[in-house]
Amino acid sequence: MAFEEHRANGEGVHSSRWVTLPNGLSLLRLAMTPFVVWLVLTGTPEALWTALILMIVAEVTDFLDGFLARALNQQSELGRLMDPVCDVIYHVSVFMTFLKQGWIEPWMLFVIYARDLGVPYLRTLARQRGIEIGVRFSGKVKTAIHGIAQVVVVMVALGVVQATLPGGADTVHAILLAAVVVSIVSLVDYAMAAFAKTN
Amino acid sequence: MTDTLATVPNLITLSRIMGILPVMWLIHAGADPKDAWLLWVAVVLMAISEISDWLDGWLARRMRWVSRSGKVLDPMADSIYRISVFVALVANGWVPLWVVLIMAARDLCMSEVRLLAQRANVTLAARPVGKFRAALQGVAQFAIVFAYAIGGGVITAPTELLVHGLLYIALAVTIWSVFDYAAGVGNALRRGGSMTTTD
Repeated sequence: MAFEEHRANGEGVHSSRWVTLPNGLSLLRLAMTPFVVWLVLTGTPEALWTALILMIVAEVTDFLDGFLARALNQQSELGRLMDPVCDVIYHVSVFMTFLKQGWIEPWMLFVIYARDLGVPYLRTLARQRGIEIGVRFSGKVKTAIHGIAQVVVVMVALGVVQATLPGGADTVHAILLAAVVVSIVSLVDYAMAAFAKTN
Repeated sequence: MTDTLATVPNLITLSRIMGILPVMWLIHAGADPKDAWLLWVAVVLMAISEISDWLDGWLARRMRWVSRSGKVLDPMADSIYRISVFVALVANGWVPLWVVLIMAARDLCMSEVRLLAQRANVTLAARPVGKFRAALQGVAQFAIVFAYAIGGGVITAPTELLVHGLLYIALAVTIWSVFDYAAGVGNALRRGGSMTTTD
């Protein structure tokens, strides 16, 4: 690959091979995206059940690829790129499909998109000043909450999970609000890390 | 080229992000034919945003306020603004979901590619095809809101054909720009040199 030169200063990068199981799992998640979008748009119980199964598979592969990369010592430069790319494209696409179904409000997507697009740019800004910001805990929490929120929303649509919480709050609205809040917290966390040592 | 973050062009860039939620709300509220006049307010704000996008780059070059951070912040604000406006248009049912999914996927992917390139000390500036893509996306979304504003919240079939024609041209150039950047990034990393524009 063309990325060899800077592998010397890439941390934890042990493999220049890119045909690895973790990368395959990342790609699988990306390949599943149009199917999940189509199934959620179709909206019939059969389609939503199939979507739910695929969405759970997607979340499991997201957990597995990072874990396997470390366990099998198959961390690759391409994997470092592909894992977050496939992850955000998948999650943002599913949220946008929820928008089409009227399950999420436009302003929430603004926050979610601004965070997912903005964080790599903040890391790029920091890198310009010689500060390397790795994946932070807030980013992992954000990804996990987004995955759980999407699964819960489809479960509510299927009637598996109650549409109203014990307090009377709307389940979908509450879980999506949680997803928005973790996005904001994570954005602030990365912004603080990016500007911390520069002033 | 300056290393400061607080330059006038950067402040203009960040103010574009502040304008996103008002524009999204106006597009959402203006979808009701009773309140279609709000679309004219959206048209004015969108015009200001497009002018400021052109102005910050022009000022940066003209006044020698070009900053390395500006090369990162400008495409970031640009993407958050355009995709958010498209999200509002999808919510109104004025733009097909799949078109915006492809545009968002491209931008999310590019943000991570920029970070990868920066780790090799290459600051990716916008390439001509990328700028052309951004301009066409801006023209397409502006034309759509303008057309609905003229029609008082509805548009005729020929007008829809026309504005969707613009949208699909923007989409085609978006896909083209992916291959253009891939070639550009590959070359830059192989050379180990810089593909920052100095103009």
